[in-house]
Amino acid sequence: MHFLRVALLMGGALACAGAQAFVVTIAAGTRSLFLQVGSGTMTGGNFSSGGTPGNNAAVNRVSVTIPAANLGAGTSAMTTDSTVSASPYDGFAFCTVPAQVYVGGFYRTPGNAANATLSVTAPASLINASGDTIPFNTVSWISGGANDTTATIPSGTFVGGASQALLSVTRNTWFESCLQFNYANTQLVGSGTFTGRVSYTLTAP
Amino acid sequence: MINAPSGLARFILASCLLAASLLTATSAAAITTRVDDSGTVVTQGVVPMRWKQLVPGRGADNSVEASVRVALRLNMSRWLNQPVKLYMALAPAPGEPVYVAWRTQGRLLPGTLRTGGRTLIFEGVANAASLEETIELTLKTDGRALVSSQALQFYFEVDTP
Repeated sequence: MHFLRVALLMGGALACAGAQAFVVTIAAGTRSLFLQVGSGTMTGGNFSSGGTPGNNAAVNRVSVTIPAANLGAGTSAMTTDSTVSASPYDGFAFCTVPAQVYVGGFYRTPGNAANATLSVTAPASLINASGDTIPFNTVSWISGGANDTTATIPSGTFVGGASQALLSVTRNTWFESCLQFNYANTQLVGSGTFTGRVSYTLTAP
Repeated sequence: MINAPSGLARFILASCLLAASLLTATSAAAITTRVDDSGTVVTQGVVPMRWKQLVPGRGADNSVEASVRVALRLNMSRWLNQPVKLYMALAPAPGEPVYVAWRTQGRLLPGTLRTGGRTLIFEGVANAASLEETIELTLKTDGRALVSSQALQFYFEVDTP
């Protein structure tokens, strides 16, 4: 009985000489989202060289002028006032201006979150000062980019009057494409300048 | 007169004899003992990890990293004036490994470590009862796998011959 007591005391002493440790608690990396459509702002180089993006509120224009003699004569390529040809990721000469509009971005997140979504919203119609309209679904785009065998953002046509999904952006990946816009030019319309604003949105879950 | 021990006492006696023989066998090589580091202070309660590359991309690095300063105070009194090998260890943790590198001010060796491992940081005679040193840890892991806060437990061991 005495021996048992001694053995238990020894066990207690060993337990008392237990672990010491200092603890460093680390927290997950932050989530971030970046989208550039046309013009962008970077300081200190490209992303790959440590550059820092800034907010750029510029709204670029894509346009085409159809002479009266060519009304309804079929597809006309549009041009842009965006001068962005280089990828902000690494400066690679990716797009051709003024034919193409640069669209690119990323979704950075820890864990197994669902993908982000790139979508675009266009009004139902372009409209001139007289109230004449051209349906937005007469404007389409062809997607491409230098050295891209398959375009990341698919080619398509605006549905007009609604948001439409363009791309599911896999987390922790970079995406970019160059969009060449075209006007179908299949109808006779009144004279004037027809305008409509398109908004691209990148949404993370 | 000698009383024969009971069954339980016999079991404990056998266990202690086994433990004693193991200790003897261990001491022939080295004895490893945990060091009291309760005086150690970590400068940040929670260390936010930052993406090494802000932007993911073509073959981009998805690791996160951060640095934190630690003021070490190790109680070496029981090894005073004895030759020791002092190791810093990082307890195993679930998920992707965490890699640690550190710089010192010269009393301890700089080095690297990963979860579940240990690295020699001092070898020589312990000539002070309290070993004090400030180290800067750089922590790195796969940012895609680090979803929530994770506690990393560092500890110190002394091997004596």
